[in-house]
Amino acid sequence: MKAKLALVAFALAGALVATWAFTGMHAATQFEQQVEITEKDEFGDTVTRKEWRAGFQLGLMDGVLGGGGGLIGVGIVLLFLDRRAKRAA
Amino acid sequence: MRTLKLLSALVALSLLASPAFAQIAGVPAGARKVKLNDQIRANQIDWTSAAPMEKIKGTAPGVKGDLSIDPAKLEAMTGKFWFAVMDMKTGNTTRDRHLQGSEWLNAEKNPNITFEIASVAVRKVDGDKASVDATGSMEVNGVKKRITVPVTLSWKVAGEQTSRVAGDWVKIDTKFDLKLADYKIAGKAGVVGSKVGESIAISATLYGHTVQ
Repeated sequence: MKAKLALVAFALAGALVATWAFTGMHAATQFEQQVEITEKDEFGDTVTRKEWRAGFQLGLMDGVLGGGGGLIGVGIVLLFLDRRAKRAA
Repeated sequence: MRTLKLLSALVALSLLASPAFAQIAGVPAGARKVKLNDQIRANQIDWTSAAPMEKIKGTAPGVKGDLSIDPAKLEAMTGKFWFAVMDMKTGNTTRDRHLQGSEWLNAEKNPNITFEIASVAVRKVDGDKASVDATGSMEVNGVKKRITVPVTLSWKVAGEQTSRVAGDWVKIDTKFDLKLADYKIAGKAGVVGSKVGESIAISATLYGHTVQ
């Protein structure tokens, strides 16, 4: 049972890293995304307006390292406990 | 004698043609008060910190300004721009709080970032646009430093197209870099140069209108 839970923890850690990799590999988690809108202004010039829109992108420092590291740690502890239980039996 | 007169005329002509005597086309002379607010468009400064470990894109909305501009005497331009540090955003609220905290911009002690124009040098005037170098005092984190920033000034005389906001419309474009060390912004140990750039790239397109 403990070994299975450890595998789940490792899988979740992997999923976390994969999510981070596929959502832009940001250092810090983004809760809003900067969107650039190019348009003509009232002066007839082309300008780029930057707006914030809701959009979650996982960050390495404040998401993956803590969450992923924690899950890997839990997995290692569970594996250790599983081995110890098997040895004792 | 004739040669002297010719020479004087040539000198006068060349002076009149120089940027210092240039005037924005179609705008009558005379100093006007210009107010920068969000009435024409949202006035926002965009900034980017590019460091080896992280690129941070941020904004500073709600930029305000009070200027005095004479379209025929741009070198006499005076005024001040400012925005609130607490309004600065990076798309991550925790990072915003760090940015506004005492280790970085210290918003509690120094709530605004300001730039006050001391002198203006006209580079070029082309129709309703003028390129100038504005020298003034930039205050960030409570530290004042004299800097020169390139500014493009555009002018739109009041008319049908500007009816939704009274007065002539004025646009100010600028792009420049700001060194954190110049303003004694040290941040958390080891962060500047790795996760935060030593220089911050700043760009802004600001809109204002003349007021009575």
